[in-house]
Amino acid sequence: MNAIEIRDLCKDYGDFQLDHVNLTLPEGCVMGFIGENGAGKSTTIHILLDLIRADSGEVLLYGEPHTSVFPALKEDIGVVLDETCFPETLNLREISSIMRSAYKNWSAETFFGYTKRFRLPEKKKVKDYSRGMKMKLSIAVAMSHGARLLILDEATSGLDPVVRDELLDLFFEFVQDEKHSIFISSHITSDLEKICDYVTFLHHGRVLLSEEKDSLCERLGILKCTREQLKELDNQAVLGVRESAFGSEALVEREKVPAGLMIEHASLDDIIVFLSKGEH
Amino acid sequence: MLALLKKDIFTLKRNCAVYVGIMMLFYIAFGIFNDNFAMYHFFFILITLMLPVTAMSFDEKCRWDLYGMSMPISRRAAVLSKYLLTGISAVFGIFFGTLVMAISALMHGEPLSIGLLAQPLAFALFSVLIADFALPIMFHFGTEKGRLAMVLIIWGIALVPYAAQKFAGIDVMSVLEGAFAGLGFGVFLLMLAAAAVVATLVSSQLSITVYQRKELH
Repeated sequence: MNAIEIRDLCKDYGDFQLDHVNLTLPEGCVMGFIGENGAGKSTTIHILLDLIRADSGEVLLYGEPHTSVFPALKEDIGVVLDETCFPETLNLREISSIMRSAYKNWSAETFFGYTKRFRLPEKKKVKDYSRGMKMKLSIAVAMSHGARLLILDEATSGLDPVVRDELLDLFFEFVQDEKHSIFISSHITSDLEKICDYVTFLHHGRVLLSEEKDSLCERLGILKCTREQLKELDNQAVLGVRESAFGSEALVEREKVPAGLMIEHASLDDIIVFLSKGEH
Repeated sequence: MLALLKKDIFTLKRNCAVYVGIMMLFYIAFGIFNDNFAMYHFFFILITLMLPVTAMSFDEKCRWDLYGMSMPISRRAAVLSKYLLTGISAVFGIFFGTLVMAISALMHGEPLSIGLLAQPLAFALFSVLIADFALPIMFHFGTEKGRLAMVLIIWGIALVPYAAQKFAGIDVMSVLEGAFAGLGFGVFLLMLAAAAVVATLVSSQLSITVYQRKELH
């Protein structure tokens, strides 16, 4: 069973288009949805949540078209958007009271357990929280109603490394249950490298790659060579090139590069930079 | 819907309690000293109209719509919660208006009667009618333009009698009194209530249609 399937998703805003986006998140896995600012990550997530409508394509959640199972299926989905959307004058008790009326499986005990763990002040209003505290609050809410799918839109952006590390541990705990899945969008690839099973890279509204993270990093590598050596390579092997005064760096498919050439490990960051900025 | 109502009440209570309390005291005092509570009822028209507008403007400020619609809440419920808020506000207006009228009657040594309910009820129904015009505009265009539409509606209604008198020599109030003279205030109230019910049904359906088509981002 796939938690999320997106097929040929298109959305045209005139100066920006989502162009046949395809991705699949198997149940029990974590997918990192990577892209630069303005790539279309939030637009894709908003279509996924039926906040906006696609021009064409299909979105399936647990095998069913998403519009046919909403709003009921949203009981099982925990959402964290890039900004906290709670009215600023609310405190934790009021938020818990609201959520108890919204979600059938809301657990105040779980919620306050998370807020204590995150050291969120109970009597302060949301407007008095820092950005990190607001994000922790959103995550506490998302994880307190028995969700089996978390959709996180830039949930760790703008947070300090300590907070990000804390949250990533929490997400890792969440997916220990094989029925739980996470779809997390970010442009901080180092975070995603720690927890993701799958990676989808969105660039200017198009998916450049969508596959298992480990096999991606095994399949691709960085080759540092001279321009002459680069010219001798099969074109199909080279996915992106960066030239400098000292030579060339290329993102290559390891299997298509002749033996004898030294290929270094390519991080997700390297892959993204080469695919977006490198010459082809 | 209960979740949304709770959210609006929790949000509004802090921001509106002091303002509403002070204005209520001012207008009640004004009404007692001048023996005319029309301003008080007009104030409650404004409150009835402003509560859903203020709630929607708070929602816009924090982009609640995005988050709210990611919860298991339908867009239909989101719209109806604002109409329910308007209705709750109108009921409070009728309650407090009747209370003020009763206090005024007792101060003047007049007997208490069911007729004390009439004026607050008429003003409350009238305010619901104005809200029924304004809410679909707010759902479509946002609260800024919705507020502007509401102000234009109220000004328009207030200016019609003056404009008719000045440019056509027609005394609108006399015309209305003549039209309803034979009917009595009770029948007038029933007609107003029926108009409010029909207008609310039409307005809410229009708002639901508008909101279901709206892109939230």
